[in-house]
Amino acid sequence: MKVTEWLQKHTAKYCQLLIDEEIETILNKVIQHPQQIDYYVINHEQQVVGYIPLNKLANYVFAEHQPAQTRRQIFERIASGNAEELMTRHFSFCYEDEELDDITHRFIENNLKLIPVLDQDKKLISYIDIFPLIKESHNNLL
Amino acid sequence: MHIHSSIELGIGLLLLAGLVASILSARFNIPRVAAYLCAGILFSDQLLGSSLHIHSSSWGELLTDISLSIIAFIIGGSMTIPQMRRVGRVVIGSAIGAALLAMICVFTVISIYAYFDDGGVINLTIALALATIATTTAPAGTVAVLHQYRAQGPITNAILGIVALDDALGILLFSFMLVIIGNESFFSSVTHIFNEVFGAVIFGALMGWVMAKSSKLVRQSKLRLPMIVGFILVSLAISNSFNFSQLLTLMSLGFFVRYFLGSAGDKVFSTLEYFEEFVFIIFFTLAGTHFNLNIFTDYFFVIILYFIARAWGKIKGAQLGASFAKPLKGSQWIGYGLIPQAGVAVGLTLTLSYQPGFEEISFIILNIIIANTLLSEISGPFFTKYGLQKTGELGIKRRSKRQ
Repeated sequence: MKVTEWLQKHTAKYCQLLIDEEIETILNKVIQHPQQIDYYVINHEQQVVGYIPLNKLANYVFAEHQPAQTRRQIFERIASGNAEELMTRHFSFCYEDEELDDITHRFIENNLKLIPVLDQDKKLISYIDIFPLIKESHNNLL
Repeated sequence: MHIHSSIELGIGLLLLAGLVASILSARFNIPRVAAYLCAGILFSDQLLGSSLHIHSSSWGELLTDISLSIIAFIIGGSMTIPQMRRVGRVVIGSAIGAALLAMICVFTVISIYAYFDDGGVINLTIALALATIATTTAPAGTVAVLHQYRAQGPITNAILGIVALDDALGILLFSFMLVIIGNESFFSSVTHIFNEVFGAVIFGALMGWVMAKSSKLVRQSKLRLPMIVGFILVSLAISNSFNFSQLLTLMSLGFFVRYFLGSAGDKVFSTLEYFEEFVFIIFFTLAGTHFNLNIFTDYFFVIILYFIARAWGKIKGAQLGASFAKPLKGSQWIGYGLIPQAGVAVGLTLTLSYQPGFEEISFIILNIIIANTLLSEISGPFFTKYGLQKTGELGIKRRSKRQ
């Protein structure tokens, strides 16, 4: 099955963050998309340039509740930056014309729950969630 | 069966004793650093050390060098340039003020003591070494108190920024001090400072660029650690060969890796931050093995002078620095959060044993710093709590245990 076909059956609402958005704006957007766990960051040409994992945002929100912090975490807490500073630039993704079988190993290798689907211009189309994939695979085995 | 004394046995026993100390400190709610030091003291010559034949002279230097290099690298990469701009003038001003005034106060007080202690061992070299070490602060104790009392507000944020920043200033001043003491004339010091300091910064930047480029090629997380440690060791070795300051080279390496990698630098530093506790166990237990009760009693007055001068310098210096930078209500209480002193201070002191000009006196400096670490770790939380109480930034106390 092609990724495009999968996406026709499994639509997903997603949240994109602009590269220069500040942490408060990011949090406002994120709380409206609780199903996502990675938030993709786009530049002004709409291309995906990185992602911010939910865990990183949780670290910021709950910083004062952590009994021990490294110096790096302290500076993130008191001098948080925009999406560009928070995001991780290296991320796994797939293209819409790829075969689904070819991308499943990326979930396992990179310990991911979501993989963004990009078009040839690196613009975000949707994402694939591992849970429906597991469900479908399990149903086929039964 | 007879177990021979060996390097492996020495390091292994110190690590295991540190581990037990860590478990006990959590169980009985005592400062972790004090527990590590006590674990090390168990293996000092006056206790088990002589019967177990644990002598760190053959491996202590290498272990201290590598451990302190890791810490300098982490400190260098702890802050980015945009963060430095955002952190605010109060934090930068207070950090510089606290570091400089603590240094001046300790140097003045110990120098006066040396002047009147005719025929004693305390001299200007010890005063200068103690003065630069006095600039460092341990963030862990302060962060734990802020967490315990749910502190929030501008003074809390300023304290956090300063405790995270001033170890970098401490390392910088300590490196300058080593260059000054290692040279006979002022002119010679200036040329050496140029070579050792600027050489270190430029070389660190170059290695940082190479490491950042290499890091982009290393996609597998399990290969990241060998890459980081490899770059740290190679930088350390080359900086030694060219007489660049080791500490500044590693701090510069950390800073430029973070600069060139941007947000991707997080992965590099989070990999290494797991080792910070390991390094501190080594520092404290190793320092503990050098414990000597006679020095504690002989130099008790110096220990007290050092503690008071440093605390006063930190409190007044932070206030002065803040008032120069930007008036902030309650800035006179910032310095109360800067009393704890631990890991970096002990690490810097351990390196003195292997520095020319310090062979005879490093033992005394180390014992003064061990005593001050214990004192400041025990009293630090009370100072922090008192200062924050005055600013009204303390919240409701948590019921959780101290970390």
